[in-house]
Amino acid sequence: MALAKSGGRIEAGGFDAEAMKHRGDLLFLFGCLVCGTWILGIVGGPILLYGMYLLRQAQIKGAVIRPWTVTVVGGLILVDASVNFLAWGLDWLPSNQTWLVRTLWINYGMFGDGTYALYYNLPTHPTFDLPEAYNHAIYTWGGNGTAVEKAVQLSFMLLVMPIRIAGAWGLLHMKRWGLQWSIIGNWLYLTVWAVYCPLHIITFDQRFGTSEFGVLGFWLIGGLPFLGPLVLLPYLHTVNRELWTE
Amino acid sequence: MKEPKNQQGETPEEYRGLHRALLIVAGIFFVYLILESVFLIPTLFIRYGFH
Repeated sequence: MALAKSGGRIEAGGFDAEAMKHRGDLLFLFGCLVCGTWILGIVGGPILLYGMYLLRQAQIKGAVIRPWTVTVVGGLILVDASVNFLAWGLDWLPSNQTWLVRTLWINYGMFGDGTYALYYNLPTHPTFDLPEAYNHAIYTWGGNGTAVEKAVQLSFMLLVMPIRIAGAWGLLHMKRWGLQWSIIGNWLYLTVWAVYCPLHIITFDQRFGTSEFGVLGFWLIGGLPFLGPLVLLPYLHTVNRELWTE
Repeated sequence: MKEPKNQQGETPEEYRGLHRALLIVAGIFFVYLILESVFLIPTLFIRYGFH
């Protein structure tokens, strides 16, 4: 038996399984975070899947791993939170002037939310006559020219997403505070989502009237992933919390 | 004695159906997010080019 103990020591098979479990867990967490960069997602995906494969192999060899439901839920939160944290942070910070971020967001705008394509980085064009719907905030920050978008980005970047990332890490390591902060973080996410959707409706013409895929684009890359908390919160509230004992 | 299906016991008995449904949806979301992370940016680069 892989996990059999002999004279207080774990035998070789058990040790292999435990080492494989830790390696798989590390790769899974790392893969989720790399996937969340968006830009390096093409690298992160295989790392994440290989981590899950190692976890499964460790389980077959006898290692006790956390329930797969927790792995899927924690991974979902981690990828989603990392994407929103980093991508919106890149738009909010001076990195919006870089070639890479400019390309990423303007392409996103041409696909879905048009405000990321129209008037992007206006501070680099000081003679441009601003439309009335845009205000002076963009002179300071650049990136997406819509002031309310900047406010949502700030709340996500400094408050909601760090809480979700830390909470998901704790959740995956079966720590009680991880479960509690995952619940708090997902409620916060749901609240901002409830603000963001009316925002999209109010500024509908600017956002979706100017992009190639319009409303379909929003649902594909914005709307659907935003619905995550609606699935996660019922699970987090009804799960047997005594499992998170650390 | 037959082994319980859910050995870790993360799901209370009364929520078993709910959790199964949520797991399916969460799994679809997870796969969707991974695919989006992997393919979205390269696809957009190919379609719209560089700026």
